[in-house]
Amino acid sequence: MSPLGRVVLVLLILTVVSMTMLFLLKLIRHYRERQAAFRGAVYISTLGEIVSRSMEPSSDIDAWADDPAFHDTLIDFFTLVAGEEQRILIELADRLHMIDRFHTDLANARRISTRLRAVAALAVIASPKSRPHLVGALRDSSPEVRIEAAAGLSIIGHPDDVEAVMIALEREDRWVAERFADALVRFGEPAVPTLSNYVLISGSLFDPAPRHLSAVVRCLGQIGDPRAETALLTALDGTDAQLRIRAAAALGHPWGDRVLNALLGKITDPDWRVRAQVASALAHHNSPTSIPYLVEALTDPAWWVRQNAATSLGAIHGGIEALFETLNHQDRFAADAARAQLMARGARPADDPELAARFALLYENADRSDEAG
Amino acid sequence: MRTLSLIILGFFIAMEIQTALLLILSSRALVRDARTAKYGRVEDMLRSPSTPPVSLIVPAYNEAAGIVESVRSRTILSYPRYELVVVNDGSTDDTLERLIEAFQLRRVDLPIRPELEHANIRAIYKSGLAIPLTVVDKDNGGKGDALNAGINASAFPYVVVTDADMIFEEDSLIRIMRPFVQDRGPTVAVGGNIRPLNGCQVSMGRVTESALPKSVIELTQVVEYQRSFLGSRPGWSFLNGLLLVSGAFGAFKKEAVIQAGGFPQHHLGEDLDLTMRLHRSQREAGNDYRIVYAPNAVVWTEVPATAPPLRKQRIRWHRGLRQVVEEHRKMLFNPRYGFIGTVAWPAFFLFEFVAPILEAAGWIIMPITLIRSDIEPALVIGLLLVALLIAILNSLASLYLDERYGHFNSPIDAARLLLTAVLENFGPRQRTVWWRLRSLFWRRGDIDWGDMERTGVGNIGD
Repeated sequence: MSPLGRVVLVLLILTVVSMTMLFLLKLIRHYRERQAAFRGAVYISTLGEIVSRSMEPSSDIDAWADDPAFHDTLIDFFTLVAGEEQRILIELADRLHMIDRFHTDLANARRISTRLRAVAALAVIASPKSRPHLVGALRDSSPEVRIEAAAGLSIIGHPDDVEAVMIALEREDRWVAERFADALVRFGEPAVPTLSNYVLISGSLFDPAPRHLSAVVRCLGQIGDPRAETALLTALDGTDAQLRIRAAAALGHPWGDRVLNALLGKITDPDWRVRAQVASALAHHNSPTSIPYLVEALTDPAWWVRQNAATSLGAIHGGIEALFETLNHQDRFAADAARAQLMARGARPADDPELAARFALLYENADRSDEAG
Repeated sequence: MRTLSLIILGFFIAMEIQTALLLILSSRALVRDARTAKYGRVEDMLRSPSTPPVSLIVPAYNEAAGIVESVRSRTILSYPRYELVVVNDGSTDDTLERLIEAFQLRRVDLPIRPELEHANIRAIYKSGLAIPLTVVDKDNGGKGDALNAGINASAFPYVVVTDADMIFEEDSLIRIMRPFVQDRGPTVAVGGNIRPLNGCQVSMGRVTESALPKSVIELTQVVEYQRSFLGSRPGWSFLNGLLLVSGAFGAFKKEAVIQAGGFPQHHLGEDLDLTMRLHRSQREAGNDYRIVYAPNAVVWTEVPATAPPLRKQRIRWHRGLRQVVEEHRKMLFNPRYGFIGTVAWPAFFLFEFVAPILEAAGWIIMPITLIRSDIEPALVIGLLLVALLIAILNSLASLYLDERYGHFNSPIDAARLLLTAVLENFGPRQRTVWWRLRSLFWRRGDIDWGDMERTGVGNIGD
């Protein structure tokens, strides 16, 4: 046979084998999915009985511990229940040595999917005895495993683990670091001293700031503990725009004049994203001092800044009047932002009769232009 | 004649080998993607304040049959903050009236920054219901023109463009926006994965069960879409050489689109042209940037079920490609544009634009060479079989890649899909080549957007 003939023959065999394998693969998958769905239904029904009637599980259930479909069902079920019912499920998982099995899988399994299943299960079960295993998994080669490990630690919520997650966060790329930051938020107030110190120390030591500092600043804002004030004000003065954006958003808590004045100073920041966050954060301070600054922000070239300024004016005492004044502003974009905000307030009645009359007039004009349209 | 025949055959083998290489790269990209699809914690993005708000732009031209259902299904997507901008591009049916009635639209005096050019806007409407819907009513100007108007009217820094007849999955929007959040700096555009809807069960604006369509024409397109969206684009994306972010489902950084001049007006390949101009403007500005593909951001679309609309669609696509080739010929083999100018764009030019011409020439020249005995029959048939078998293997590999997403696993569907992967090479492929050749002789005004007859998204597979 000629060399070309041999190539054709090899390709032909490859094609036939590929087709057969693909067909068999689809067939196996089809029947396995059906089987798994059937077993899943049996598992759900049995688990439902165990949990709702506090039944003693039969010995048959021991055989289920090897079935990944049972693991998935147990974990899904776990997320649907709470309190005593969760405790029963943890006992069941322990009795079947599933938690130990997940620990072993997390440490030793070569397949990422197996480690992921294990760490996701441990994160949901959140047993304190999994802490060292989850800390170890913060160094796993798969980012998905590391994210789940951080989530698991935060659900367990032991303050000693904050530092481990912080150290791991510094090694990560942006996406994973943000997910770690989500985990740090879940730790809540116990995480604040560690996070604040990190911002103060690394913010003053390094210029530019470390790349993940903004994620930590975001955490502090979401936790909302006043002990973070000094750290956040330092971040607001940083040279990195991303850091200032996060700091401005994080300072949207009524912590006093020091924070308010710092925010007002940043409403003319060169970066529009900082101005937008400042405009939004001012609403939470609810101070009439900020009204002239917000009115000025209504003329900002960036839509987002105008929108946030108008929304904040709508929320601040005395801001509605300022929005009405702006309806006749020579800047059409400012007037439009004010009108959109006033219209968006819908049918909310104003306590002040004069203001109510102005709202009525505004809606009447809108209806008239509707009819004309 | 003998040399020409061998060149043509060699070209096709090279083309299939290129496809095979892309499949290997795509496979690697998809393995990673499948993991993040399952454990990617997209729900974190829903809660995260760092998730940017996005404007979803839907151009509509004579879409009265399905526009209300289409808009309604887009108002219930999982995303923290987004607005919907529907652009009625001078429809001659009652598309606008249906929108006004269904969503209690009120005419508003909305100022718009004229960043991009487009035809005259007649009116802008906002919904009286508690949904963030803006409708722009404008003179007819083509799809690119409508998208430009939508971008100008949009409020947010990122835009997702989509056709009116697309069916979204609940998390399509969050998944297509994920690359921006993951790597906010350099990503300027993200392409989504489009799957044929024909044959699927649709309920309440969502695909509830995926199944294969009945006709050969539709089945062939299922295989084609899988080859393109799973076998090729992830590979190009991996190399940062993606040249097409589909206008049917693509996300863009608004600032970059404006910098590139927006979508072209009166163009049949507006999405390909914009992607090329994005590459061009970013490279000329010396920016570090990425244009990526997100295979787990899925939308479903109705594909032509009969030959006439399919012919129109393919002629339109190829005509659009011709326009893009003419406009961006300076980038071909131009090292100034790096990998795009030296590899990606030349490969696209050769294997998409030139290929039909050579394939048609091959079908004509090869029988002549055989009759004239210029070349040994065994050699011609052997090389033809090599090209054919590699093509089939490439299709099978694309179907294998789709295994991760678990569609079409019933024994009957599996058998039909595998047979289609083989049989599409005998007839459908040659017919497509013929249509693409015809597009070179296409006259302006023959074909425009919105030609396909819609059954309305609620009716598919019911």
